[in-house]
Amino acid sequence: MRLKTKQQATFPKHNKSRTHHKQIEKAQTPSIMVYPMSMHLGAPAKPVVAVGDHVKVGTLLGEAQGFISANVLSSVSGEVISIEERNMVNGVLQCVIIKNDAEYIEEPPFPEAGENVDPALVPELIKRAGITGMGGAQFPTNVKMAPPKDKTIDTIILNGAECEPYSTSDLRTMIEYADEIIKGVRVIDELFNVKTIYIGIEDNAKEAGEALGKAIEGYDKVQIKVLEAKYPQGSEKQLIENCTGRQVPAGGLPADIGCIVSNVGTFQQIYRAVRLGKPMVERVTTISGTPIADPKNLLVRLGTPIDDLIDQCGGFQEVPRKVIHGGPMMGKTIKDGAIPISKGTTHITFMTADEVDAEERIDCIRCSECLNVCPVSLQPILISNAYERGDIEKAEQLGAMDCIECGNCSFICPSKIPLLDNIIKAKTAIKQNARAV
Amino acid sequence: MTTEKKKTTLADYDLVLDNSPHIFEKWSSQWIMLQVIIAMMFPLIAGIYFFGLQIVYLTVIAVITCVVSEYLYEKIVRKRVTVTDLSAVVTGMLIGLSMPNGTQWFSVIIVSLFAIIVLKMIPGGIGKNRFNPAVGGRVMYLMAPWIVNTFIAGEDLITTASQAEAITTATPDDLVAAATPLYYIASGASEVPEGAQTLMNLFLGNQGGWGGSLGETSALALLLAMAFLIVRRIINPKIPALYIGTVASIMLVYSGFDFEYMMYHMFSGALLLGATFMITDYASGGLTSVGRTLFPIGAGILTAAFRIGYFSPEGVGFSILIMNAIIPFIDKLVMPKIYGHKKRPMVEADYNLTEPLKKRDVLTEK
Repeated sequence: MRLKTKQQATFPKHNKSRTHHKQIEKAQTPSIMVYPMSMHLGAPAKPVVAVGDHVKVGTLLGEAQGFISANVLSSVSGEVISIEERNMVNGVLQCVIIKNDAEYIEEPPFPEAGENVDPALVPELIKRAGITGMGGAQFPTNVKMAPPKDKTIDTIILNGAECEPYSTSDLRTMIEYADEIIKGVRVIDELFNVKTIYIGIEDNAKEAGEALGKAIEGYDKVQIKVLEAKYPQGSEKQLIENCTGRQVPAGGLPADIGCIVSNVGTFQQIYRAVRLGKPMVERVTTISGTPIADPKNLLVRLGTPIDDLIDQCGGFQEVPRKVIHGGPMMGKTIKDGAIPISKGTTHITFMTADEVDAEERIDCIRCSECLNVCPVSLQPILISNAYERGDIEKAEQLGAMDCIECGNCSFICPSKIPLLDNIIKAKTAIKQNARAV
Repeated sequence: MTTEKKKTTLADYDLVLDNSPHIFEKWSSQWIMLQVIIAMMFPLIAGIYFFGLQIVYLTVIAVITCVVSEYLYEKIVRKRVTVTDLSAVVTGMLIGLSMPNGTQWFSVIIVSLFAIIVLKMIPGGIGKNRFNPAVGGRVMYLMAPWIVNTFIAGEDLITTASQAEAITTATPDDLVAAATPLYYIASGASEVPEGAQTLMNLFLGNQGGWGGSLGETSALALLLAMAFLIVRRIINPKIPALYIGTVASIMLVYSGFDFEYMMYHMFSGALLLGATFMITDYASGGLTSVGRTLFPIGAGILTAAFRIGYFSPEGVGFSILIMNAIIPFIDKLVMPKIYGHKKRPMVEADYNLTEPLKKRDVLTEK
């Protein structure tokens, strides 16, 4: 049954038809691999290898620092040829550069892993495997799976609502790895012994629903929620509300209302880490967009530079003007082809000059569409106006910090006002003010 | 590495860096205004059918006056010229449509200047006008004889009972608000008297030579225009539905469930013109969802009160202006509850302040 959701949303074109039916293909791995010390949210990892070291698949390159952080592991075997600062998607980061020997010699599996792992060891194994959320935000999964003791987790939600245009990596993962995903769910279920498990997918992902439906046969607490395909259906807070009716309190975490939410692919990695003892070294990424001649869903070793994937997808049939790490609604533009596929790289979107909209901004006509599409019920135009007048305090009172940065307001604005840009700038200013006090 | 076909790399292309989102809904404010202009063609054509080409003549004068005055104002105060957004054309057309049969050209110019300069440009231009310029202009025009007579001649012409009588014996001249079949049922009547136009005639647009505003003559044309705007997703159907529904319910109860009386109210006067083009105006309507619900209900109650009471048979313009004035305060009280919060935000947020205008900056690096 398709679930109509009341949440406010937009309906950008899906643009998934060029890849949604294409089976996942193993990508070729180049000779030079790049491992930024942060493929996660939180503190960057600290390099623990030196130039000249020989590494294997699964060797620890960077160790997690602090509470919210994740390990960075090698996805190839070879030699560390450099440790240098490079410009990555989220700014300058230390990167370990490895020359791939194309042998793919693996580290031995984690000895504790197996069918009867002590649940208390699960977060530790996840941490060792370097797993982060795979939906884009790259939140360290071990932190998510070890909520404070006073929180009771009664619900697990698998996020398979892939609402960003062009992306079909979750879809293909659900179709082709449904069993492994559900085995990963059982691992987490053993950890929390929850009441209900939801799998949220969009109604344009029918095949995924069928594959998962087969995989959950006999596993009665799992329910597949087929949600209306709209943006941002896959936003964590919205998915929780649509599945459980609960709202994450302002400034809180899903664990505060008893929920653990993670991307479907993350559960596959959990299965591999906890049952097979394997680290997270690869992920499925969609390479798509009009300029790409043969768009694909690729199983890519983490650390593969984007430049090395273009020719594998037929090269360019049209001149690209914009390259987006992620999707066109929330992704970040890049121009450096040495930037690698990271743990949260759901897809890389290429756009032509024609598709890169640069319509001129005009005055607000007060159509109130930005209010109508905001999934968290903000008044984007008022926050934007407050920011442009320099009234940061008012922007904060209007709830700027509650913005989830989905981009719906800027997307819908008929006057092409950069609403999200202004809200993000307001948020930055609010944080600076808070630090200054 | 073996030598083969040159590898494709991003470095070979001129790429832009920009903030998300990278795609936009394929529409614009100009496109929205254009849809409203197209919708106004329905009542315009009906107006031509029933009143001849004078409606075109008056509408063209109003549009030219609005566009030129907005352009000149912006030139004089050195603001960016915004006439290309087509909103001045919409205002001009709405003024043309809402002028009564027999209006003189200079009256149209005065009304248009008042609408654009006083009501739209001085408050800050598009989106910042608290009052709907066309409605304000129309009401100013309606009040003109009263102003002239009260302050100059010392008479009170607007008292509708006597006005209706006066008009039955005289042809409406330019200074008097045109009589509509509404006079039959206004001023306290609670049933449709003998001799009134048939409902079907009202629906199609034949108001029996009574005049009325040129664009409001045909209920059919206005309903078509409304349907067009709803299909094009320019207006939220909830707004006209709540407005018409409120007026209809009150009229039904007031007349003791006299369906004909209620329908007479629906099809006469500016009700449908207002419901389609005035109450749905973005700039002077509600901003919040609750505000956009309360606005048409409030305007509906006021319209019914004006029509039932003795003040004026034509309450649409007045009621919209009154709601225009109070809706910003309502909006502040009913700001939407943010996800994860227990209470609505309570902020003194002034929408109407002028804001600096910046272009969408696209960063291009070589």
